[in-house]
Amino acid sequence: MGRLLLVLLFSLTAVAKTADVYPLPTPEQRLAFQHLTTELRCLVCQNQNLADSNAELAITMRGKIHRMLLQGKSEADIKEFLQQSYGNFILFSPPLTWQTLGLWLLPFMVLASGVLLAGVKLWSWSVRL
Amino acid sequence: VDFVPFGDGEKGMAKQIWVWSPLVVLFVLCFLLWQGMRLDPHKVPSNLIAQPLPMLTFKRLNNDSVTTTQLIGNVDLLHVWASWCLTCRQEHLFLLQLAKRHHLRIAGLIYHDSVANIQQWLQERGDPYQMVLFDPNGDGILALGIYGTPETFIVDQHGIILHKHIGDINPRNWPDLIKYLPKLKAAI
Repeated sequence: MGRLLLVLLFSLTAVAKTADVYPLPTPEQRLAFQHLTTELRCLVCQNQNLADSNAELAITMRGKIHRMLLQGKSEADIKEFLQQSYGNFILFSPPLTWQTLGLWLLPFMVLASGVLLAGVKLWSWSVRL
Repeated sequence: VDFVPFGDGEKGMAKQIWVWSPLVVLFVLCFLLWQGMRLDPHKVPSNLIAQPLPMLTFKRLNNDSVTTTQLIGNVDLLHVWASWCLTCRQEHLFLLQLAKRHHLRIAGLIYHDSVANIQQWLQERGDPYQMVLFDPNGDGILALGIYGTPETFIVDQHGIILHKHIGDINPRNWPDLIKYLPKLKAAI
């Protein structure tokens, strides 16, 4: 319980800190900032998102996202800008293209083949009984 | 009843496929993972190859502004570096040689560093750069998809990005880079 409170305390200060450093006028913009910094990868420390990373690059990117939001750019505009220069690698969730089709479909194919295998086995056992 | 592990006839064939398929899947998986180990996730390919340099404004050492338009036709390499970057320190001598020997026009784009640091570096170690560019708010860094130092763009006379090299330029990888430099390729 104590640990939980501690975690809650620090997570609250983290949110407060972001709002202080990157103030935005509307709740929509604040939400967009939160989305973008959690969905985009820091290319320096690659398994961290922009919100968690303190690398120089992540700081530059957060600043740019903040400035673009203040200029009235939408979440999609900003994502497109960064994707244009950094490629799909910056997105934690890659878009569905011909190149990434296998990546998206493979889990379903494995699941389907497992279900098929189980079905065939169950059927053959039930026939034998 | 006879115990026949793999049976015979048509039914046996089907059974054999069932028996061996997990092993085949395992080998395929091992091969893919083994291939994956050879990839370096820190070398992210550039998304800007065969595209023109983005339109940007930089500051020079004397605080003059310079735009992408002024770079086009005047630079062969756009080299991203910083004085705190140890790899940049190692390759500096080679860059000096390249600039001198091949009349290579290098623009140095500074990544997170101060004017004073850069001036001191160039005085102490020599200056291979046609021009040194600062990008105070990081717009240029982000538009070019830069994520570290050193990184180098090879640019043609029309400002089209031909290649991006990640890491230092040295005598070992220079022969691979020279392929992308039309004017040097003709000379060799």
